Amino acid sequence: MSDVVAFWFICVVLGLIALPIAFAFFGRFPDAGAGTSFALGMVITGYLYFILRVAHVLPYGRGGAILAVAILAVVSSGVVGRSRRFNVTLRRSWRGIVASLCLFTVFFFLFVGYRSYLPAIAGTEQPMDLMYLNATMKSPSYPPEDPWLAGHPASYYYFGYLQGGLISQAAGVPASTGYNLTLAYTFGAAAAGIASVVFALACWAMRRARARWWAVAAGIAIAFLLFLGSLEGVFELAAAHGEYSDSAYGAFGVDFLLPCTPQQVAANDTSCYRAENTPRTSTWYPDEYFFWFRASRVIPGTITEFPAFSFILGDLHPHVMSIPLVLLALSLAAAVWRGRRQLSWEVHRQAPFFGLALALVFGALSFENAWDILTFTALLALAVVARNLRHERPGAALRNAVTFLGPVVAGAVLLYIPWYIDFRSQAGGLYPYVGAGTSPAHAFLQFGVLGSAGLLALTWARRPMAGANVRPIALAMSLVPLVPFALWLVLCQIHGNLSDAFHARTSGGWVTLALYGLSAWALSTAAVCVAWKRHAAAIVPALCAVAALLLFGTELFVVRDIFFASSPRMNTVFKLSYQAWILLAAGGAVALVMALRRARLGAPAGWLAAPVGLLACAGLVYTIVAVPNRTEGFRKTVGIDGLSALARSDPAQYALTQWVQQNVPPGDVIIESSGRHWGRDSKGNLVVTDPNVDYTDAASVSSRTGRPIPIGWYFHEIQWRGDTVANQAQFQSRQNLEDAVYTATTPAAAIAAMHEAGATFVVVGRTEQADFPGLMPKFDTFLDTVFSQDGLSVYALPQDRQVATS
Amino acid sequence: MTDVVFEPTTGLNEELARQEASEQAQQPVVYVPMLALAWIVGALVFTLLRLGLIWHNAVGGAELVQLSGAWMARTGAPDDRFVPTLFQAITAGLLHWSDSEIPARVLAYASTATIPLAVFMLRRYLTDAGAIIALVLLSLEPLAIQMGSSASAMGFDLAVTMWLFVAVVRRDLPWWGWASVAFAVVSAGPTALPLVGAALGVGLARRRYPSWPVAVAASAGVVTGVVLATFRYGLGASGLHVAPFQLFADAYSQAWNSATTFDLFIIYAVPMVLGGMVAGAFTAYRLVNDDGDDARSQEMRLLLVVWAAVAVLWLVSSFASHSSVSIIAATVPCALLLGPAIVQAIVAMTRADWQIARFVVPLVLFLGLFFGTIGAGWVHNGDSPTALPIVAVAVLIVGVLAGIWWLRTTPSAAPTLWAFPMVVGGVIMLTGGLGVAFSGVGELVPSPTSPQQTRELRNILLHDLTQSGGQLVVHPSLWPDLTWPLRDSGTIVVSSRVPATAGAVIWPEDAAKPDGLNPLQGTWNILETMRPPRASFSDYYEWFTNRGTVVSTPTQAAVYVRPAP
Repeated sequence: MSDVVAFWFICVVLGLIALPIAFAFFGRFPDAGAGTSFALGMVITGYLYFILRVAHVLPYGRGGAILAVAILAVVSSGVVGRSRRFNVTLRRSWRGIVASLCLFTVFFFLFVGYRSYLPAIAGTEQPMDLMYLNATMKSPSYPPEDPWLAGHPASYYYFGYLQGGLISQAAGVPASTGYNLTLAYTFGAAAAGIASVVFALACWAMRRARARWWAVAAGIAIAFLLFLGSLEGVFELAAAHGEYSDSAYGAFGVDFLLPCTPQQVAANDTSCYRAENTPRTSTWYPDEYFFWFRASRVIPGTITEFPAFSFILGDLHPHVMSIPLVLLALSLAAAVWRGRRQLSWEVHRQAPFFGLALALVFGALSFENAWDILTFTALLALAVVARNLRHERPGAALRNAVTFLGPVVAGAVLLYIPWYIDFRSQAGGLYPYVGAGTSPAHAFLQFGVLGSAGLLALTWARRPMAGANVRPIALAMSLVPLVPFALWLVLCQIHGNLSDAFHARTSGGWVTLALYGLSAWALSTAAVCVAWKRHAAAIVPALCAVAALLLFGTELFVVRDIFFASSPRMNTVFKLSYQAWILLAAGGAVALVMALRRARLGAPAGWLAAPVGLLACAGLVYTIVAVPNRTEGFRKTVGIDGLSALARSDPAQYALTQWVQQNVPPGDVIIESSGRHWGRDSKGNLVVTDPNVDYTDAASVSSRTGRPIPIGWYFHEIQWRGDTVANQAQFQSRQNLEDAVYTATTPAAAIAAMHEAGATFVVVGRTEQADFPGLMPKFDTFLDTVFSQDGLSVYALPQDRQVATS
Repeated sequence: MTDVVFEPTTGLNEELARQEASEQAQQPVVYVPMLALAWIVGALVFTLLRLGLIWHNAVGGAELVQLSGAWMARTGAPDDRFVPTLFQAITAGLLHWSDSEIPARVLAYASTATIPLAVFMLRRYLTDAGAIIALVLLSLEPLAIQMGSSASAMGFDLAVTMWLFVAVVRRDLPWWGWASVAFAVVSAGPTALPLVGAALGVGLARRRYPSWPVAVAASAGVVTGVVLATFRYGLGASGLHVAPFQLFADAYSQAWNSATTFDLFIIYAVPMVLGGMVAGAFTAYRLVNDDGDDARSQEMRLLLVVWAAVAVLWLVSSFASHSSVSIIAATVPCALLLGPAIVQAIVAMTRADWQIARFVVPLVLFLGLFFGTIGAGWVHNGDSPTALPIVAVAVLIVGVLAGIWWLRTTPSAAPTLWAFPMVVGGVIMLTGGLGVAFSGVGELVPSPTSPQQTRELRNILLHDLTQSGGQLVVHPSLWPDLTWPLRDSGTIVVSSRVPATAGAVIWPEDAAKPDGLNPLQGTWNILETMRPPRASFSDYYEWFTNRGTVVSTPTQAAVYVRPAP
């Protein structure tokens, strides 16, 4: 518990220290940006730590992390000094500060409570996440080394891991605990962040309403973001209790939940459910192992992950860790849009730190989750243009926007140059999507709740739209869907598959495309019309329009990556729909509350909020049933250390891991099995019997300790560095080198392999015992045994050096 | 005839003083103000308490680690234990002249001995009495006593910290002087970092920006310090180094003491730090409510409060580490806060109603001492107390509480309550300070230490090797502890396997005997580690009342020599 409190305390300290900086940006927010100060403090401290480690100013270890926090405090003092309104802002917003602190605390500990039932860092890609967290904490040099490719810097967007590692170090918490607490921080900061921005949006949009409406909007936004799930969850619950309806399940595209017919069983059909019992659960919630995972694969060939799923799964991935940062970027865009004077190059001359801070935050988007940089920078650009348009004619507004944004973009790149140098993007260009498209049923399951909430903006936008030049605006806004569609046509033509593109898309796919396009058009029209009337509510349909445009885009384009051949739109749908979810959670919450308020005031259209509310309740079913399933009815042993399960189930392996953690100097290379299983063929030759490495226990010691090994998960390294012939050769060579140590027939061969790998230690743990049964040399005869317990050992190269003491 | 007259300065009996002065107007006199005497005594206490440690203190703790690094730097071998502070660089230079730690300790002592002067220069802000008491508190702070006369890399830290504070508060330094100040700070250890952070933070928050000449000079000083550290003061470049940051991080990660920071804080620093925090709270309260003092004094007090807060935060964050640096960094500002606070408490006490309190206070102290003595007997004898003593102690405790309660509820006598924390805190500080100053064997600093026996072992082995030949081999796991005692021993082989050329081997005690070598008879302790009392309050109390109860755990090694042919 002390680790949890220490971690929470550091998060709160960072948030409080960053408050003056938040005040400087979010003076127009009711809480003066208190809810975003957690993310703001994290980003600034994380950047300071990163850049000062790269510059060798800050040392390795906990001291360096604490110094970074101290430097943030000094910077914040400077902001206090330069702010003439600090005391006034503090007095005005103290309630918001307290509310943000309470929200963060409640949701932080709520997640800790949940995660304490399944703290183990195992399965899916969690070992990879732990590896990166350890890399940022344990690497003696910066930019940090990739522990799974010794001698090479990390080539991934690891800023989120760096922030989690920074807090873990400052709090004195080990990485295995910091992993879970970073998830908890993300959960808490997301709640506080979205509450802050939505409270502000609702305040601007419903200026005459009572503050409780704004609070309701903030609460709904939290529910939308963190608890809402796919409507597929309703069907999971029904199916688990044997409630089937072929027509209904088929209509919603979830017939994979229907039990297999005998014919399907005989044909080995996998598009149905092999139910052994009816009903399929012995509890009120579905007790099938990992049933909730299916909600993230509703649309075939894609990943349709959403935040509630992410937190239930517990993978500490960049797209999850970036949620608070994305909300911060969204808040900044909103604050910029709401500002008074025009933005141009002059602002940089008069207030250079303003542009610098924008560059720092928006540049961090790329460093934390590269997929976010374009969307949210575009959002910022829209906000700048919209603001300038209030003061100038379009030409001048655009020109000034460019002169303002140019230095910000340049700064965003320059500030993160040390990371860009080592980062290898695997994005291979924009291609047209040629495929069936998303069925309307699947689209409804995933985005029905949020989409309908966002469309509610049209019900109340009518009034502020009245009197605006709706027709020309609508005509102009038709370009919003038409331009991407035209681009799609052009790209199809260029790639020579225009005819295929039309024929491949099903009628359902066209319907979904049309729905997304119409939504984007209608919402953008509403946004511009409302903005034309200088109504602060314009930002709400604008956010929803951007979200609709993102979803529209996923139906037309794919970003080429390593999965292009097998699942071309997987990552495109995954990442862009995740962004759309966040935008809709914010905009949809305000739209829903505005509609509810209008219903309360007697406007008929407002009553459309009722069915949306019911849908939202249905969307909560997913989380309600998934959480007890994931925690096995809250019956598991409670803890927060991700290695506590290992300590109980395999004390020797745990002890080995701890020994390496405490005794192997950071940066020293160790040898572990590559993960490939070896055996002998009929002729007695050594052969690889199972080459599968990824998603196994391979490289587990490196993952848990951050000590570098020659090669970890092969395919993940390919994903990060590119599927080229050179990389394949290099990585396979490293696998062979690792395994050569364990299959060596002479001590000289083993030592030579260790020298070639630059390794000092050899681990013989459970993985090695399983991968090299009866094949390993007797290491204790030619290496120093530095650890041994229950048959597991760590060996070291003998040391021998001359030291002159005179 | 010249008379020496001790003249009271508080104004008591002024008329009498004038009469005496007029009577002696014909005779030349030398007036020795009591304040001057108090200053002299304070400075003497400060300097003398640290003097003996130069010769009597065993090499241990951070000093053992960093002297090892300095020695290796002197031989030209790269070693991570050498942290390029100015003091460590000078130490490496001094080791060319003498292989003893004494010259470096003398240097550290000389720098620390300037602190009374620094405190003297703050008397305008702390008042004379407050500054003197602060000096006395600093004199008695056990961990600062130990650091002030040790040859660790942080030998200049205390002086740098105090003089930095003087420079910031008095603001009478010429602009070029800031180059030296900045250089001194960036070439020292981490003790001054809380003050640097506080000064920067307060200055920026209050828009007190330095002038351009000062900023340039300070920047030049910083750059010079960093560049020199990067090139390790002529010993060769090893990457960019900011020494105070490096040592700040090392204080968390390295084991500079066998006890944890929390243990050391509980044992030695509670009165100073807690008292300083209370004094800081009062000072902050007065600042917020504008006590009417002049602006400079208010700024000084604000800086002190923030400095103390930052230092205490560092201390709390480092409780799990094994270092005393953060404690020392916290006790310095706490002492400067406590000094004036104690003066105010004494003034309040003198104005209190002692009519009944003059009986209650001594009675409470006596009752407390009584049950403390009984408790000491229990913990030392290990007996389970029977009913009667328990009842007796309970009665004593009730008596103590009743006395305190009565004083608390009597407004005119309430200020006399300050006597209790002063007495209790004073006793703890005196026992700790005097214990460390006189190198009590039962003290926890420094620990672990390198016993003299190890150096004697080195002499024995070298003598044997000159006769029988062969190399001295040391196991890698023992090398960090043996670097200093084995200095100036020619070329040593550090190996995990005994080579054929080995003539003498220092090996882990639990390792198998190397073939062909015979054990050298004797018990060879290469390290002595003091186990801190931490199991329970009774464990601590037992040690407090009898320092000799602390167990010293030796780290033994097995020594083997090749038999003569």
